Amino acid sequence: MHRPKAYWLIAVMAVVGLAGLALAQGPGRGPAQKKAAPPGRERPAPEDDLPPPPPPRGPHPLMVALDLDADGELSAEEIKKAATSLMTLDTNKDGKLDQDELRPPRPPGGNGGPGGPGGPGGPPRGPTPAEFVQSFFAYDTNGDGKLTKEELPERMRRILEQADANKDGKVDRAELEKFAREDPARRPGGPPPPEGGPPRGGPPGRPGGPPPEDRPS
Amino acid sequence: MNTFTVTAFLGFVALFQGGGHAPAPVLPATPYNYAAPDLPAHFLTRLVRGLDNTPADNPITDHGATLGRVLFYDKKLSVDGTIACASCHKQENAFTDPNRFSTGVLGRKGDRNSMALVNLRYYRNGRAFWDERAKTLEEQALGPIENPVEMGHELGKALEALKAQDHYGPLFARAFGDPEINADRLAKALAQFVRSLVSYQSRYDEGIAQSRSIFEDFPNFTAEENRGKTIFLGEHDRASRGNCATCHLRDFAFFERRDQAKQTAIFFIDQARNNGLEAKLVSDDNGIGDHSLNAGDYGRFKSSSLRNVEVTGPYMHDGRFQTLEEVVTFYNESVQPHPNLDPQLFGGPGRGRVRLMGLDEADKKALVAFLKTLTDRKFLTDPKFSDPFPSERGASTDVRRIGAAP
Repeated sequence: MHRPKAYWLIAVMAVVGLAGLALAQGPGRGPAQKKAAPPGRERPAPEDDLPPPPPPRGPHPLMVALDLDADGELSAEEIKKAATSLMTLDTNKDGKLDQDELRPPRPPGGNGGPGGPGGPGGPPRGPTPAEFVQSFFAYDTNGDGKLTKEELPERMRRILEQADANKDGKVDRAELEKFAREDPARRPGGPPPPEGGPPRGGPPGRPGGPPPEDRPS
Repeated sequence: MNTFTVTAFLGFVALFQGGGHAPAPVLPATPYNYAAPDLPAHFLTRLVRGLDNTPADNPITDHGATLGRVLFYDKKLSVDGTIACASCHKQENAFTDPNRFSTGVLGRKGDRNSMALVNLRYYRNGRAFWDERAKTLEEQALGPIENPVEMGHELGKALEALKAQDHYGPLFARAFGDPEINADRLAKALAQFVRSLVSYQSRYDEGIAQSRSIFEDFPNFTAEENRGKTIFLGEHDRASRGNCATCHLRDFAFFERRDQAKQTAIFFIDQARNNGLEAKLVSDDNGIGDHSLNAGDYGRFKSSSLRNVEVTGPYMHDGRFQTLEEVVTFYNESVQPHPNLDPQLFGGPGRGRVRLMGLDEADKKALVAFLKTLTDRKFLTDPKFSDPFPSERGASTDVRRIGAAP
């Protein structure tokens, strides 16, 4: 199911003159995915002669934009509409598609800027800072516009230490949004990210500090 | 090697007894073979070898894993002597807990389901815990000892408790060359034992050995199991409904010809992913997100191997599904459009464009039947992974009594 998608993608890229664009591979794809197995080999070599192939890859934004009925294939009609469909990816409305717009979306704080939430019928775009803030403030049970440790489940409280810029023991919307917009890689301390990183990419790195000690395994 | 030689065991026990403060473990005179199990061909491919996360400074040795086994079953690692690793990781359940949430010391309950410990050696990034907060199995091994809702001990005191047992000096000496007992060695021995927990003798493995390709019907399967396999592989119809293998059989999807699947042994998802359990970005348990604080990590969890999944319920990080049928029904019709939903679960028609399997009842049943072929009875009963301590009658009564305290 994935290979046909990949072939269609290559074909359509040629049609619309985008063949030169490298498909951005999500950051954190592990080191085991350096090269794909050579295509078109009539008689596959013994497995040990081949480098490890890349892992499964999610639908690329190009494919999501072009595959209007989301059936995994591009029909003649969809190819005909490709030029129009592609412009749905033009998030900065400059009439062009740059690498950032064609790259799988990043979490907030990445250098691609806010990507916008996937609306109804849209692809999973990854959360925006606004969505991040909104989601957290569902826990603002007293409605005072500030999150406190009493309002958050214990395992979620770490963000209070990290986002509380004025160190008043509370996190307001502005503090949380500023935190969400930061590049996580630039946050102080912390271990490196796990191999692979987020499935759709995003800057590496994570903030430091030990997790709460009483969370179960 | 797996033959239980009572005479040899008794002789070895005699070596350990005399001065110990607790029952000594019963171990074979010649250690079990942990270092070089007789793995079948599909476990010996380059791809599978490449997944092995065994570090150069802690290879599995027979004596090291033997020590790890004893530690794994030793309740003295807990503050009140009631909980061992094995209390929540039971062999008959593929080293998980059949209860939704495990009970730790003093009756304390966690709020995540115990993870199954199967083939963790082949989880490429080596990380551990549902939220992958431990970078290695060595790091993970010490975590529960000090976790207040699990074993509740202080590491230093736990080490002292080990030193007070006469049998540990010789065991550490055999494993590491001298009898010194320290945290690094404790972690390494436990990690060796956990990495030795490799399951490779299921009916699925027998079928692979009898067939030229994973795609052809296995002669040892029923028609329903073969149908389930086809669904799992995404080969049963043009829409590839099912297609579980794309995620759960790492690197499987990359083959050049239909009969040339490259990886047919390791039923792991290659990294923590969001499988759409929740629609909201933030909920009470956000997996990796709660410690990385990266918005893109919210709702991402590590998952266990599908091997022995028949006996590892309840399922998911919070044990929300009791049966495999419920899990299949979830993927069939209930995956939620979480903002971090894994791309492999995305792209279908309808609500949020989440990709649902859309299987009918017969196909759902067939898929479950296939999953049950991954059960490895030898693994679940292998004496080399079993409790080496003589049984202690009445222990469970003590646990209940202590558990009533706070």
